[in-house]
Amino acid sequence: MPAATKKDGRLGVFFNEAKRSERFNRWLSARMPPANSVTLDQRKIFILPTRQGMYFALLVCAMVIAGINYQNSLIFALAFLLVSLFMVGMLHTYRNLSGLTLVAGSTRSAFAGEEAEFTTVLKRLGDRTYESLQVGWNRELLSRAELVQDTEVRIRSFVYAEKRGRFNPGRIMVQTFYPLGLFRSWSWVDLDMSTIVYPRPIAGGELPSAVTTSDKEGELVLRDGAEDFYGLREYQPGDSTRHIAWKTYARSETLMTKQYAAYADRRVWLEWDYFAGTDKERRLSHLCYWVLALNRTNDEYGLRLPGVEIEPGRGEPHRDRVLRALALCDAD
Amino acid sequence: MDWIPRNVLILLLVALALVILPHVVRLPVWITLLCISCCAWRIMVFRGHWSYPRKWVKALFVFGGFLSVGFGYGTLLGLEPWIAALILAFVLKLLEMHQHRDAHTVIVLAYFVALTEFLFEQSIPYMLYIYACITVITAALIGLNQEAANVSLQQAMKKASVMLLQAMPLMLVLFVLFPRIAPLWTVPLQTNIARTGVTDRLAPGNIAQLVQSDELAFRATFEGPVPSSRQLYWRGIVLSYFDHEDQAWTQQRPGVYGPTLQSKDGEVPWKDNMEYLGDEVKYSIVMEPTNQNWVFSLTLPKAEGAGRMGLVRDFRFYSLQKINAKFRYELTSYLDNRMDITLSDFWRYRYTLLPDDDNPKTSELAGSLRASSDTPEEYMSNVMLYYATEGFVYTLRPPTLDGDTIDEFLFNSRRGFCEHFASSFVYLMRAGGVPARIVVGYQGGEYNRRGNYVAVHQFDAHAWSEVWLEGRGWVRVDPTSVVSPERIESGLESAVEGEFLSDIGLSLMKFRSSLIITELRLQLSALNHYWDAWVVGYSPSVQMSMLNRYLGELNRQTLGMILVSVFFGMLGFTALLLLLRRSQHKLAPADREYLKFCRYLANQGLARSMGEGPISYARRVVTLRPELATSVDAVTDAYIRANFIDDRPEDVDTLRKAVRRVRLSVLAGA
Repeated sequence: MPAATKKDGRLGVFFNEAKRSERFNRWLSARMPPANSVTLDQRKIFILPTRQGMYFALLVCAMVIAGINYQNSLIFALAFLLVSLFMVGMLHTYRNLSGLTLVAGSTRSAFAGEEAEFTTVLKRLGDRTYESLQVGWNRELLSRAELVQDTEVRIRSFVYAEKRGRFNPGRIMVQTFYPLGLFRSWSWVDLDMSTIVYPRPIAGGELPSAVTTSDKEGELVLRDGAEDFYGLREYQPGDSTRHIAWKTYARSETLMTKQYAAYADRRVWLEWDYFAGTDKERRLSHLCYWVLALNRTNDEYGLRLPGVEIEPGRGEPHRDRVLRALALCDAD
Repeated sequence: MDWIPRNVLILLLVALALVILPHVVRLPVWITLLCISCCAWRIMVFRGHWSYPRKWVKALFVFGGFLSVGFGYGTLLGLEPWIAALILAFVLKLLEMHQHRDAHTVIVLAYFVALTEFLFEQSIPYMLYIYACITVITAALIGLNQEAANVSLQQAMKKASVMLLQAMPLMLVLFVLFPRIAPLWTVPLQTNIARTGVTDRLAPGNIAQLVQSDELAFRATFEGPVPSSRQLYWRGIVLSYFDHEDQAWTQQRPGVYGPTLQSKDGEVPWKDNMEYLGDEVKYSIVMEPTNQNWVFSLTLPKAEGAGRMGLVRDFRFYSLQKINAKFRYELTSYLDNRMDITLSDFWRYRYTLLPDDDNPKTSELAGSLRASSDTPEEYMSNVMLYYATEGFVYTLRPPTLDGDTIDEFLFNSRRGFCEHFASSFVYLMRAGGVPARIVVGYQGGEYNRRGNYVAVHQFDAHAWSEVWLEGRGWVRVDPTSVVSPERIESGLESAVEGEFLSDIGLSLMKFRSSLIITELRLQLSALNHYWDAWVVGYSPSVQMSMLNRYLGELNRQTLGMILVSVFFGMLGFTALLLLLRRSQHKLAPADREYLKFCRYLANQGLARSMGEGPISYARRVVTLRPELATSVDAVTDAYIRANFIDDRPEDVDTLRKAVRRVRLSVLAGA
């Protein structure tokens, strides 16, 4: 239904997230306090005619006037049937949200300037079914869902995160136009979901040379005679035949050379002071970049921010811990 | 941009075909062809063979289409051209229906086109047909608002039917209570529909032709007993001018009737020139549309409370608007009456006026008969005697007459139908100096016991005469009654055996001798009558009188309040049904019985704890209350068998019995 979603008239805009006033938001929060699981009921569901609904109402008015002017009972009857259909349609559209339960699901962090992922679970209780639901934070990109056969459905939404820090996407909108498209019934639900937005990684600066513990380039040292298998690369003349991957050759008929690597024992400390002189956010962005770079090369690294110190480590959980610290950093 | 799903497009095209179909008979052929080609084009677009028409092609279609509607009908101001234009807009919109929004527009137009059908036809079958169309249109609307992948024709149709059924009670409330008001402005009416019925011109052969039709003219429901057939003279039009050229009777001043008694608030010079005598006869009439202004009434209708009608100078009712739809009105008549107690010289002149040098033989006959009679009454009976004794024959197939038709009829053919008798009789009266005029309307009718009404058909059309006599006013004289008394006593069929409805093919009316068919026909007719009287004929006045009867005197405000409260009460009720019914989780019978069992024990202080399974619960109960062991075990066993082992209805029965035993032993223990 994007035709209606995108431009369902001034009323839609009036209740649009961006245009909601502070006061309205307060009222909304009092009416629907944040909760991880929310079942929609009459306190939470809003319903208004769509633009098509307005046209329909106009048409029905025209029909009643035709009935009056032609003094024609059957025209009256039909006009009244459509009036009644309009009202029954309203009930059905309301019903298509009423009793629906929204539950906060998992979240996935993102870097500033990217989209964070939020999973919402829609559930139905009893045997009432829900058709043609639209769910999401962004009115332009609503996910479609229905609960007819299934009793629950997971919806992944992506929300643009502009700034680092703890990110609360706000109220999720769930709306429906089913069955007649003459009414839009909707609700904004605050599922109390939030995620961490990491600083935007910006390549920049060099790690001060003091950081490196040896004068060799890079963090990874490729070496003949090392014992850890690192990977394959295309054979180049001069490579030792001992290192040719014969099994691969047998499979694919390309000559590959096995590479062996050893890691330099380097515990890198990412220090708040490294990027002194640039502003705070940029510093965090550079640190973030290096966290990612070091993580990629599987180096051990630690972080020192004012008031925060994370011992060097490696691996995904460590990375997340460090990034989280960067995201939530409130140093000056 | 959202595309229109395939199934929705199919529904839309079907709905479109269905709503246009009944209009086809009235539309110019080329519009029908245009409709078909637009649909075909849209289907080709859908199948990917063709593309949407280019802008200039569409412009050509629109411009050419509307121009030809204008030229085709000669005008754009009329009902038919409007509807043609609406249908045109409707099908042309198909060719640029790309998105949901366009489809919405097409659907809204479809509702409107469906509605226009009721301007022409209001019978029960048409109503059913249109409501079927509405269901299809609504199904298309539902399909449009469903996820494209899910649209199923049957489901959409089912949902539409359910919603329309839920809307029906609300519709009935609005239909009955919504205040009906007078038209806000005058609207164009259908123009080119020929309606059968009596006309304001009576030439030999007119009525004989009309009575070949078995169409309904009107139905009359009497409040008291139905007057006898010989009293049922339904006056429609009074003709008082004989035209020499046409040899036909016409109205004196066609179309001009002067002020009505109602329009002058009763202050017309002739308001005291009439008298109501005897008992009143109350009746209501539902008339089929005639596209004419005259309405039918028994003499003499009372002037009051006639709504949009008025009593005119010749003491009949006249509708101020043309009757272009079924029309219901209520009247009180006094069969015993005096019209024109005195007749002024002017009117005496008008009612004895005949063209000069016309029908000489008739004038001669009138002269001799008048000379041999002393009074106008005697002259009248002498003329009637002439008809009775001179070998006149009542027939539906009289020979055609040329020249002076009255002379031809009276002296040569002597075979005629009511118009021949009435017209020659009035001519003779006038030639003898007695004021006389022709009345055209219907005589008799068929009494329907089922519906307690008299149905008057076109074959009951009749012409008779009225003669003004000193002291008695206008007196009805029907010369047909002396030639063919059966016509007046028992209707046309018995009067003209063999000739009745012989010009039309199949008519249920022909089987009046078959009891079953007659009964069936009467039932059907009664159904139609109720439909016409209470649905089609539910006019502002009918509404007011009905509401007053059941709800007492009402003003607009109270009515409005009643309407609003009943409507929203009904809506609330519908909402309750919709929102409550489905939300309760229905338990399986076995679970229900088991929970009952748990409740009994809970009352004994043995409540099952959360998450306690049936077996451990039973074990706990038995340790605490050993005397219940057998019955509790029986229930637990039966429940487990019914729920977990095999799901047979007998198991549930066993369980039910076991639970009942527990209840009894618990009661006995307590």
